[in-house]
Amino acid sequence: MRALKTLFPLLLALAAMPLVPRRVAAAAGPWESNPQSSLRLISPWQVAPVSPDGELRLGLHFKLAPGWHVYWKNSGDAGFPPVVVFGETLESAELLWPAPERFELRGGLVAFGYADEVVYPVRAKLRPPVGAAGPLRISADVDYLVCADDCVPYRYTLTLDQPLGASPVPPVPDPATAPLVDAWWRRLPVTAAALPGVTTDGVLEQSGPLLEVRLHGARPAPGTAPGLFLESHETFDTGKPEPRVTADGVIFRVPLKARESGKPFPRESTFAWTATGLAGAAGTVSLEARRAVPLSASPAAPSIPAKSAPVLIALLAVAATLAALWLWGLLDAGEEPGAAGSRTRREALGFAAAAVVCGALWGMSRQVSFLGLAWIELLLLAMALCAWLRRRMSRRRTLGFLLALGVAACAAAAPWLAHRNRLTLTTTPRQEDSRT
Amino acid sequence: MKTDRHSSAAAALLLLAGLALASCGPAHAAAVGQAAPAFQLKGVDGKTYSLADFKGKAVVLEWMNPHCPFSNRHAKEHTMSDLHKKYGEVVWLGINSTNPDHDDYMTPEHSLSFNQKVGINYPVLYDETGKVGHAYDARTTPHMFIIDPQGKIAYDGAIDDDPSGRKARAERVNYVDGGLGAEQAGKPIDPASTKAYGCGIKY
Repeated sequence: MRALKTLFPLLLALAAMPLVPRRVAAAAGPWESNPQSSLRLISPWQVAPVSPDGELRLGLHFKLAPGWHVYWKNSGDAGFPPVVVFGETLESAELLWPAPERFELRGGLVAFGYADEVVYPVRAKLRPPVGAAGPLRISADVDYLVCADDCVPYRYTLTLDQPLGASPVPPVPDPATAPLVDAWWRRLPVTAAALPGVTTDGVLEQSGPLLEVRLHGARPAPGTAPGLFLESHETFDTGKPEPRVTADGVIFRVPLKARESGKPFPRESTFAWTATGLAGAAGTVSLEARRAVPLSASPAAPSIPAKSAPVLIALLAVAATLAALWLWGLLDAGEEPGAAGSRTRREALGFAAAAVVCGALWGMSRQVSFLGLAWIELLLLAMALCAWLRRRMSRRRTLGFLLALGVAACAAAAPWLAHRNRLTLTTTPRQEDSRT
Repeated sequence: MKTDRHSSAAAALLLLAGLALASCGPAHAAAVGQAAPAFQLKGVDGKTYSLADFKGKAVVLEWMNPHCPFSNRHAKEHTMSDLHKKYGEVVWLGINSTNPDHDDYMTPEHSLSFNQKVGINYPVLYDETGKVGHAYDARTTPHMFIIDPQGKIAYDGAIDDDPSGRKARAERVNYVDGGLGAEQAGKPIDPASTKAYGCGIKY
């Protein structure tokens, strides 16, 4: 009898449905379309279960014309993410952000978002008391911006009539929308706690400035390049993250630009990031974290068992520079080298050595800070200058001796600077995970 | 022989100098608290405007593109032109950095008639090379800057807190209004930087 009582309104609603074609209860609301995009509200259920906590999964489904994109929670340099206000039939609803893509636009501008198709998962809560009195009308006011090179803002009110199943009515997943919602739900980032053996932290390096985000124990998913997306920060504009895979895990280096100059950096600032393209137990996963990141003024003891050896590379750069100078006859103070043929060969070898210097500097660029690299290059330049001056002033002995000392000092200082400016940073306490 | 050796030494020096320069990269773009990059640009009215002419006055720079829905909405809602009226002693300059090769490019004559139609009576300058836009690191239309009378950038960011234009005008927090008010009262501008929203500039 009770079952019949609960069923009755539903049956009534089902019977009434063909008479009210505009309120067809289904797992997908009607599409709204424009030349750039189509969008609708979907749910994975033909008849949704009414769980004790009243939670209901929904999705905001976009299909985009080729070349157009909609936005992640941080839209990048331009644009804005969709703003959705749900109607009163839901107690609460939260739009969630699957792993985005990076779009590089003209003028060096960058956008973060989704192309082709996206379902923004929505975690909704039904308003109690939850009955099964016919389909629940869910409505959402959506403001969004769709961009290619140009941008067009749109505003729609989307609806979805969701049949609910109270206890005797079995939930029925929808064969068309359930896989879609599930696939995009799986693209939501997880916290480090959900990835065994993975922790994440970061360090803000004063010189640069530069943010280093580290995912200890993480591996890139096969065939994908890991990506990093930062939420917008009140103090810094963020540049393009450079991923690096080390024995310890995945590291991203992100150049920053302080929005206000002349202000000292706080000792700690909070950054929130989503790292994408990581290997998980069942395919590719993304990781999200919000961390208090300490400021490191002087990069000190390395925390990463570094395969990197900037000092060795600096020594190589110095040795190759000396070799080039010697081969070009700039190191010997007096005597003329031999026959013309052998001299040409020597000079050619000198250029080969110079190429080695270029290679070494390139290698170093990934392991020392930008400022450190600039200093090392200036030292090598000064070394060459000293050698050249010494060669020209070979008659003046004292000056020649001083210049030789200069060459030696530069040669010694370069590896020291490489060590001082190496990019492996101080160990930091790892914080507990907190969802963003 | 000697010249031979000298030329190869010179080549080596050039190589290293080149590397040193390459690593320095582009100069840092402007930030709040730094001197506003100087510029001299032609306005749609045919006159040439130089930032240096306005020394001692507060200057507002507004990156604009009438074809961008955001710039267009603010133009039609008179967001900027009303502020320009409210702060009469403040110099207000619109800057259009759209590349002439882009569809959004509007000829200066067309721009002038658009301005008259929507009540924009402040100078609109053309930065067709994008050099000034890049010097300020302007990214969107509208992207707003306030330059204080000392010539320093005092605000960098959005016009208001309502990207979608959903709120009633009275409910919006207009950062430039707040900034100019603080500037007049001799108080520090807070917030001094926000995230500019809108269309990307068509450099």
